[in-house]
Amino acid sequence: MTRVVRGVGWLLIVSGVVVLLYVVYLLWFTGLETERAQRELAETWALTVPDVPVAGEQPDERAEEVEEEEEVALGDAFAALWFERDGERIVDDDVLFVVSGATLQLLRSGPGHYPLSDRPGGAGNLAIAGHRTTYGSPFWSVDVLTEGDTIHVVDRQGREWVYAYREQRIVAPTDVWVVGEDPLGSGAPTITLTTCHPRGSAAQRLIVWGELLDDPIESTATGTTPQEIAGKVEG
Amino acid sequence: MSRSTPDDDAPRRPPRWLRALVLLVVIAVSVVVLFTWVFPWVEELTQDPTIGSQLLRRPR
Repeated sequence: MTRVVRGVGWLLIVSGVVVLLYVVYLLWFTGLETERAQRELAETWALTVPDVPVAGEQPDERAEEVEEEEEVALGDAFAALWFERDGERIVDDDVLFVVSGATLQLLRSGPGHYPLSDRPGGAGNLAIAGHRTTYGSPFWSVDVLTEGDTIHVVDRQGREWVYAYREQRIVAPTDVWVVGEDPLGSGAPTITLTTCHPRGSAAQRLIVWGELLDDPIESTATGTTPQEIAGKVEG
Repeated sequence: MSRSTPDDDAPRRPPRWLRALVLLVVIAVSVVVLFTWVFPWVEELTQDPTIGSQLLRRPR
């Protein structure tokens, strides 16, 4: 009997240690995996994206070009993303490289583009998912966005698209309408960001919406020109 | 008439190498189960930031 109790005791101790190690891995070490993946994405981005700033192009010209874009392979760099308030970068210190695809495996590399949603600058809804906690926590503080903030997306052609923050909402994980064609019902091109809520749980989702500005604002935040984004790899 | 010693009455323990082997197998199986099923399941449960993936996983 004593041996059985001792055995169960050891089993519980080992299980506790394994759980603790797993939590430590999730909270601290997954970020290293994402950091490495983001560096690799930055390297491919530097090779892919043309080295010309194109903010201020006419929307019509850009819309035509969007139609001609090639398919991006799952896991490849799809876009670069950052947030601004009064010319200062917020939410994340770094420019985030968005991967093509939004499976859990792909999201280990950074925010991911829902494959069935629109492209940056498209007339529909551009939907991007990102971790709130773990794997670099790219959307940890995405809830700080308020009226007047902007969401900047650079596509693989180097074009910068600026979305004005509109609203955020907490929804159920099954509310797929939020990544549908026109979730705000405004008819305007939209960006939808999805992440976990509350932090550390996937019980709900925090959704952030923005609408495309007709006249893109050229970013004034440091380190966000196409050359600077691509040049990140040299830093 | 011989008398039995306490050692004779005690159940025979398996050899040390066999116990070590069993322990190794248990640890190996546990690691495989944890990394193949348990951890991905926990991650899905607690870290999935996407919308609609639960619908895809739900049996029809």
